[in-house]
Amino acid sequence: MSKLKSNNLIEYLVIILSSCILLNYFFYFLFFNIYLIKFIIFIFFTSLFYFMFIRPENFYLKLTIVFLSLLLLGNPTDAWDGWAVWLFKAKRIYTDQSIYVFLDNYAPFSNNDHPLIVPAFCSSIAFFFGKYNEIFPKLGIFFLSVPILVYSINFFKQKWHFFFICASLYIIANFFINAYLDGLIALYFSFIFFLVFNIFLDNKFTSLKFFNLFLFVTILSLIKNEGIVLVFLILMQVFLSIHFNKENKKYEFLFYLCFSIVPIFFWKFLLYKNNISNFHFNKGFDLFYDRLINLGTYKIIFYYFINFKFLLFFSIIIFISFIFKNNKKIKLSLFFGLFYLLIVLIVNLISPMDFYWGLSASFKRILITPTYLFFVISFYEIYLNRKKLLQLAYRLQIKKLHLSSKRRSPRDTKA
Amino acid sequence: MIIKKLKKSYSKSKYIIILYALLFIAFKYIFNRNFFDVKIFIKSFESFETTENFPIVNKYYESFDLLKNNNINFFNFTPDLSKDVYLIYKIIILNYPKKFDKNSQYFFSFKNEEVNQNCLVVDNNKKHLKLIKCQN
Repeated sequence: MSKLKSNNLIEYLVIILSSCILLNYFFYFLFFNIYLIKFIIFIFFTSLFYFMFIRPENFYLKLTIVFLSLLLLGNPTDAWDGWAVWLFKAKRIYTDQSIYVFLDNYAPFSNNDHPLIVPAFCSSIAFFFGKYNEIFPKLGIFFLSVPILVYSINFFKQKWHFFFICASLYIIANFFINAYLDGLIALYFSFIFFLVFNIFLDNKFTSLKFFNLFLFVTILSLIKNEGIVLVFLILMQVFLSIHFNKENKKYEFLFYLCFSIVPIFFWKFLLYKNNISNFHFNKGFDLFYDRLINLGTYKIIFYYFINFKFLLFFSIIIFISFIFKNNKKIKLSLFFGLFYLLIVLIVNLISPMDFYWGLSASFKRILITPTYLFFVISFYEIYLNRKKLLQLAYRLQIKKLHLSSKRRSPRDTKA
Repeated sequence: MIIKKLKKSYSKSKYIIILYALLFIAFKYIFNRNFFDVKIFIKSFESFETTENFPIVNKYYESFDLLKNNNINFFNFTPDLSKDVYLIYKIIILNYPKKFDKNSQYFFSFKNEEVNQNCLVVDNNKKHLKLIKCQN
């Protein structure tokens, strides 16, 4: 009973944290008021402090949040996208006190077509402290990952969750704090992917869980343009998960989930009305066909695929797919992980940027998403089947002992 | 019974020690991939962009004073300076809400850059950059 209550508490806490992030963004659009923004940030911090200091469990997660926050505050913003795109946007919102300021398309190098939930949250933190610089508003980027980290407590037992956090730190590493948003994208996408399986394929549906899923999908779509692509992959995954589930066909929830993309469509409509287009699609498909027939393109792609973390977790998930044969979750995650990479490669092939330079600047970051996805899904499968795996290991050990005793017995008899 | 309980708690704490060791290795792994500086940490909540007291000092900081001292809201870059993309982006970001404008008569240029006949040096008191006014 107490465990149930604690699980529900986490659910409500995550709803408050995610709602604060989304409400903050919507208030910039609907009616901007500094006091309202400060109040939302105050609620966010209060909920976070409640989790940090009142609940005694999960000390390792609290330690992680504190460590990463302190590390972030002592780091210069050296990542190009960090200072030139996300923090510059935060500064513009802070200075002009409006989110519509981007429709003038000033400084197009900062990609004015990107969604703005992260800069809006960063500038709100600056409003909360009443000042701006290039260091502390980055806290907003890190705090966006907190709802996911906290929510993951509900799905794994203590030791397993501890290992889950350690592995997440190893995979996402400095992308938690260096003001790139690729770590956030990986975290949200992989966790949503896992949550969809949990809700629609493993029949663990609760209305609170679905509401959290809805909030996460909305946030993911508003992080950056890659998020929009990933949300469409998520919708496809929801459809397939419901389709593969023989007991409960809850197609109506796919319909409800489609409402999560309304805010991003509103933003894209505003951009279209103001003739702000994406840099990558400015020159159409002219370069795409030339690059596609060039052998050098494939050499470059192969070169950038040799990434230790990606290859490690890719081989782990392939290995697990051999242990759990006919496992739809693993097959789907492999398919969607590689499909996402294909989409990113196509965008790079279309882009007017130099192909080699474009990949060298972004591919390592982009690989984090499928890498983390492969980790989360294989970890979840191992966690679900841990008893079976233990039994399997036990049987193997018995077999080994049996064989060794057979080998020994003739010698023993001779002796 | 007590020995059994002790054994159980020992095996539990053994796992937790290993996990904390893993966590600290992950912390160290992230720490090594960053440029953490105590000075930045101490001053992380100061509005430092407009001062030269902050640990990160770069030549683009001079542009702020050049615009402020001469009361200029729109600026441009000389062709030589425009080649340094990093520098011009940093200047644009630092000086916002003062904006870059292609039609502005006020140009930032490198200190050692030669000035055209059409241009006048407005401010030359900085180490790396100077402000000039050119007639279109």
